[in-house]
Amino acid sequence: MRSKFLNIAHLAIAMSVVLACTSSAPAQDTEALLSQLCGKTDAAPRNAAQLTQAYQKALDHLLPLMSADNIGSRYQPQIMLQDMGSHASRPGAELERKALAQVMLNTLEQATMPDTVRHWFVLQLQRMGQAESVPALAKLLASEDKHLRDFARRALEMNPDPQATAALEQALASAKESTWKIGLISALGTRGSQDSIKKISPGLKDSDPQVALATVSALARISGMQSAKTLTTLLRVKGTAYPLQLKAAQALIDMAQTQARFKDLRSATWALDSAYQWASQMAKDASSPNPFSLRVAAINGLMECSPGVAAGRIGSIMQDPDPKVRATAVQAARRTLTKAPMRVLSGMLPELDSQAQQQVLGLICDRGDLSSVQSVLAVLDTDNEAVRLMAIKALTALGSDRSATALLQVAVTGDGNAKRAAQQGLARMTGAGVEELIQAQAASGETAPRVIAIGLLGERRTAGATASLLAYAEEDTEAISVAAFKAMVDVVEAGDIAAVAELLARTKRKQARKSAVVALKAALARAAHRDGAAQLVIDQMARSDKDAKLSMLTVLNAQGGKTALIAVNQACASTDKALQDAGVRTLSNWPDYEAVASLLKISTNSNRSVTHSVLALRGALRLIKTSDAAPMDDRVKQGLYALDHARRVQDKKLAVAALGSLPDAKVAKRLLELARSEDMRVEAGLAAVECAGNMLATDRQAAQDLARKIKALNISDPINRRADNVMRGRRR
Amino acid sequence: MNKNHSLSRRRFLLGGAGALGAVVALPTIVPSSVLGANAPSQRINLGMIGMGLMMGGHLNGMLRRSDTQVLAVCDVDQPKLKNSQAKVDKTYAGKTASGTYKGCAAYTEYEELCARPDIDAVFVITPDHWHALCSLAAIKAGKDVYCQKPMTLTIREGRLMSDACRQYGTVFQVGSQQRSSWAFRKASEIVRNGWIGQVHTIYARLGQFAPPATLPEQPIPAGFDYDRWLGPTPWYPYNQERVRGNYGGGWRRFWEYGSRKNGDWGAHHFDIIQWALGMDDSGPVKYVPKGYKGNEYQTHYYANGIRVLRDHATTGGHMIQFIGTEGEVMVSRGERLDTNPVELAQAPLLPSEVHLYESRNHEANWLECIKTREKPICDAEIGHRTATIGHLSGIAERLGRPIHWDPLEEKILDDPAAARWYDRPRRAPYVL
Repeated sequence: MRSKFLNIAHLAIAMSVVLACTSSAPAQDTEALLSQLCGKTDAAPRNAAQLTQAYQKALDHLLPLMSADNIGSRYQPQIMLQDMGSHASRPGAELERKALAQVMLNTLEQATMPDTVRHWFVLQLQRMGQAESVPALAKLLASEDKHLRDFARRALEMNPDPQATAALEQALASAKESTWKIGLISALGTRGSQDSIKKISPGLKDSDPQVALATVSALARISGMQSAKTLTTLLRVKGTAYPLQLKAAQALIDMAQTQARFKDLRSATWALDSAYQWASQMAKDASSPNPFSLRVAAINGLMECSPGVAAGRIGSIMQDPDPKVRATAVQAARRTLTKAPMRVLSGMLPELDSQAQQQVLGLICDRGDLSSVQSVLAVLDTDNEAVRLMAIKALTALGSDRSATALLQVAVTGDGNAKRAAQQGLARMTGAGVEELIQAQAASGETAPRVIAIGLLGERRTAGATASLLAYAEEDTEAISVAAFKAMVDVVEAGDIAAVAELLARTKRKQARKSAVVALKAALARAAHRDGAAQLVIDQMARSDKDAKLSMLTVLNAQGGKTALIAVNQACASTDKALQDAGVRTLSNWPDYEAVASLLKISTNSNRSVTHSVLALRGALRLIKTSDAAPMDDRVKQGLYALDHARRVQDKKLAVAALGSLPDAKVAKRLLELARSEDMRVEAGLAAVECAGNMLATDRQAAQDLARKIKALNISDPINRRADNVMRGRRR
Repeated sequence: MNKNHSLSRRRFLLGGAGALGAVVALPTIVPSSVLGANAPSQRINLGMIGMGLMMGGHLNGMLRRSDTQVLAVCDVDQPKLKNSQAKVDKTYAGKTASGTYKGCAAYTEYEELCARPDIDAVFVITPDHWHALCSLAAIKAGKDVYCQKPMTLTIREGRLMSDACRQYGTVFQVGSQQRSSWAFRKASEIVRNGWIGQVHTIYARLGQFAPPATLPEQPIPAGFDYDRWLGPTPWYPYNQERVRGNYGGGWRRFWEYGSRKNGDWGAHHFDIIQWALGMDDSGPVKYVPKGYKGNEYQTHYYANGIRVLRDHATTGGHMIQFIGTEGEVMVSRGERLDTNPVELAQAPLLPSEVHLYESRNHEANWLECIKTREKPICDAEIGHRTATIGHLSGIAERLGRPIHWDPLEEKILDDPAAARWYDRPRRAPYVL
């Protein structure tokens, strides 16, 4: 008996365990199942029946949750349904997609659910539904819930199956309410079937203007010749309401864009021309609105699709009272493949108003050819300076000897901006005969045009120009000589140093000599071997008179170098005051760090004049600040020496400012000390934050410490702000 | 007929003359100006569409200027509309000689504002789902447009808008205003000129919105046209959170009205990345969502292998970090620019290097371009390409799988279900 009881007890326990397991198992299974169906975890392949079963189970689980009283809790299950749809509609999973869609459709038909949940189901079908969804969605087009109806309409709009079109057309045939008709017509437009044109066209005569407008848009989207004809008919029929005609013309523009994309340029041109003709007609009628934007769009379209047709229209377009329309013609001509519209505009140039002239001249700059030169010359002497300048720019772009002759004339006889623009234009003009014309003008003739042409030889870097310029520089007329030396600056080479130096020694007139110095300096700057180059000048100095020697001394800082530095140092030590002065001035602009010691020696020498002392100090500090290739220790040493030995307070301040550029701990310490003093507080504070900013790249911690200390001194708001920036890691 | 339809049957049948007459009768302050290069000195008459949170700065900016005049405001929310109208009136009445100011017009329907021939240009500062409808209406009416970012709700809208701007010669500025900041331009120039070598990886910090939500229905407030606020998007019961303008959430957190952070901040940072890489007329070719096969960060790839990771940590907490074979550039708002090597940030460009379009003020650049008819710094094609990145990132996220994109043909490749997202069908009657 006991044993029987125990057996029954064991059986009961076993059954309760099984029951417990079976009751908890579905919850776990569903979670795992959902995870698989949403693509979050892998699953073994399922056949069609298994998929249907799995999706049904998932939806049975989700639907109550999606319909829960707590509306906020509905979100997660909704998203799970969406994720299931997304995963099932991935490429290569057609079996899954179809099974889920079918289960959703069955659920939609059979289950009770809140309206918003029903909407959500249909939204998913919009994204993943295909042929299987069409019948059920078609039924929903007759739903009493207007929102559900529209969800279904949109789902059919996106459905790839052709039967969706038939369902929408059928619904349209019996549609009464305007909004509903608009939705259906628009959906059919999106689907783009030519067969739908007949079904939606009655909408053009609908009593509600919005339905008619929607029909026009749909026809444009369907596109094709039949749509285009229907739309142009609207433009031609008298009594058609203006907004409908406007929409039809806009639709033709839209349609032309599509046709052009598919290379059907003939149809596109026809559509654009129809729109343009209508808009132009409207513009002529003072009692009608002026759809200028349509003319703009039509012109742009025609220029793209059919430049020849557009060129034929340009005459009338440029008479348009609307400046925006006129500007469009010019801008569009810039983008066309052919030059026909540009040539027509170019021919009209003299007759246009000044602003249109500027626009067309701009177009000629970009796309012009020699056929435009005559037209541009016709507006070159206009009173309007903006047009004149633009004409000069156009002639420059066009090139040719005719353009060059005209510009030379302006460069010689013109004034102000026009003269400058003509010179600049000639300096870069290319084209047949241009170079020859300038060279001939430089060689002979009156002084003024020769001066201009000689200058151009330099600016244009004309091959072999140096020889000609050296010859011109020797001429008696000083203006010619000056112009030749000035032009040499652009063309002389190191090989010309001896010749230019020799010529400088022979040049006595003041202006010409000044120009010769600049030319010689340019030649020196281009020498690869600076000591050798400097020696050529020093040799010439030995053979020259005093004035020439002084002039030549000043060119030695063009490149610096040991040989030149020795010569200049000797000059600085000379007892001849003029030579000494020239030497110090040359040394103060020295390019090499090697001059620092000499400069500091002069600046701290109390026997030197204040002028020489200041010139030398500034020269030294400039080199200390900027000579990044020099050893930092030496720059610091020299900088501190300059500070300690400066002769005046203002000189010390210059030294302090220069020290700020040296990211160095010694400098930082010294500047901090000075910032605590009364007489150098602000200058040292500024230099210290500058120093801290520079130290960010080498020692971030030290830089930020320095900035903190400077800020703690609270010298001024700008210094505090810069310190804050450094503490944030910003240099300035 | 739906009460929201913009043109009444009577006005429709009256045709052009009637409509024109009605427009001319509206109060105007200055003569209508037809702008372009031919009238550079004339004042620009403005219409402002969408008077919410974001419009505040734009409206104030335009009211301060002497070369602009706000003629009309438009919103679906009557209280907001009235407040904006009162603000405009108060500002101008104070500036204008007594008795000469005629008042700012207020519309609840943008179609009426766009039909006014005396308005030269419009600001479209609505939620994203209204950008295309309002902008296209303005473009086709011959207005120039400043449209807030992201430019569109769908990729197709962007293509239509960019094409329309080209056709109608519109000066169109997208509000991705980081292009008008020195630091972002400099960062882009450093990248574009190869100063940090070959760029291979870019981090963009967009941040996160709270997830979307299902919300209980609430009564629609008086004076608020909720149906028109929803416009082309699917119908949902009204709840104030759904329509709230809030930079940290509100309507911006819902997929129905945008691409969440990918649209909202992607329109800024992805835009700068496009600029820096010289991809303004193209874009990435592959989009991989976060979580796909363990992918830690949402990522998109350009055809040359450059990858852009969303919300990866950046050096110094910067908004964007470009990493190249020879250095890095980090850039943020507030003109924050850091580089490695450090000297790049301040180094000047050589004349022969790429100098990017320089604008110091995004609105001023647009206004200047209206006068010169030149392209503004962030035109419709640029805005469309940037918005496309946001949309495709969002589509990949919602589908949970990578998307391959052909930027030349502008097509989603090899995935018909994903390709359906190229556009979204619109609720009637708010169709394109």
